[in-house]
Amino acid sequence: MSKMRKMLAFAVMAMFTLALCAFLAGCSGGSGLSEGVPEWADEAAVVQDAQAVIEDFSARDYDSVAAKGQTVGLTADQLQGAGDAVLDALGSFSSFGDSACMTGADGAGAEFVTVVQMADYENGTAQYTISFYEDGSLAGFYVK
Amino acid sequence: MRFALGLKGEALGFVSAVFFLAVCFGVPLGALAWCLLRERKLTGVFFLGVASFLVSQVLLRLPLLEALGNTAWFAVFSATQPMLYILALAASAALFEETARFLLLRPQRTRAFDLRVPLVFGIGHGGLEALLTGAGVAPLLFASPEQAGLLDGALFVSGFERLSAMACHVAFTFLVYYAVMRRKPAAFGLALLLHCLVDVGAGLASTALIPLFLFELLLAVFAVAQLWLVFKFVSKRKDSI
Repeated sequence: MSKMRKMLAFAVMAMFTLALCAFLAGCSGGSGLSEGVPEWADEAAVVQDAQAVIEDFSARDYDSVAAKGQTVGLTADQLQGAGDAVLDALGSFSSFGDSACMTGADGAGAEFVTVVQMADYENGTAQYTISFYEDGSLAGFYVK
Repeated sequence: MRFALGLKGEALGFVSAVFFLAVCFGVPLGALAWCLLRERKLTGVFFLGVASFLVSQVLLRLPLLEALGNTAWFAVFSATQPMLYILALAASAALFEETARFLLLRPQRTRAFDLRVPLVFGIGHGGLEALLTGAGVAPLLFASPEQAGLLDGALFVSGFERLSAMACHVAFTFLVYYAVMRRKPAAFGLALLLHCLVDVGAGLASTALIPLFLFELLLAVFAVAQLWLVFKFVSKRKDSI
């Protein structure tokens, strides 16, 4: 094997090894989130709960959404501040798309279930990421 | 960076912005100008390189990723399997771009081996990527020049990254050109692997799993090393059958 080929092969193997190490290190740490629902949750029920929150939000009933989010300090004013602009751009709510769930834990170790729910509107599609604690209160609410 | 240049604040930001725009616009447009003025027959090759990025990324891969991003399962996948997600993005970028390079370079088989072809093609390919990156930032800088001052030396790093990326694209193109001209599928496989590795590194840096500065440094070293190695490797074999 020529010297050039050996150098090229070595460079490739070195980069591959570095990347593999980084990959494995990342895998072992993980994101802290896992697919599916925790033992205390029923997937159909949490998806239904998430859809109910989305319907309230889409109807601009920010008080109802905020009532569920008191644990994390979510207020109607905060929701209105961001929500009005988002909903003005999206238009009227049309239908729900597909959904998927994952499980995680907050900084204090409290487990939550997260529902990623697609929702179709008059002017486009929105992706909601809504998290619930075991007692049904909101652990997070994001829309994009 | 600030210490090295003796600049700070707005001055550093201005110099960084000029450097960034010079790289994103100056290098590809300069290469095109060179082709038009000195080597007109390579102008078509330059635009083939542009087309390979345009078709593989802008018209195919990015719309596909956008469509996937509108599905709940893909959002969960990216959140629960971040490493696999990064690997999937990197592998798809490598597959789409290198395949486009291969298909558009394939007609070169009927022509004589010419090392300027992969060089110009690679600059065209990486140049469009740089142009689009610059075009995304330039309007903001011109509308609000004070933004450059706020960004400090960040644009310098971005410009440096674009240079490294273009060098990588040229190196990958040399490998694919060699694979096409000498019918060596292993060279194409190597281009795929190297491209994937670079994009995995970029993905890891974007999630702060490795420091950005370290990634940029490694990318620059890797880009120069592989460009030199690949060029030497291919140029030694340009006359072989």
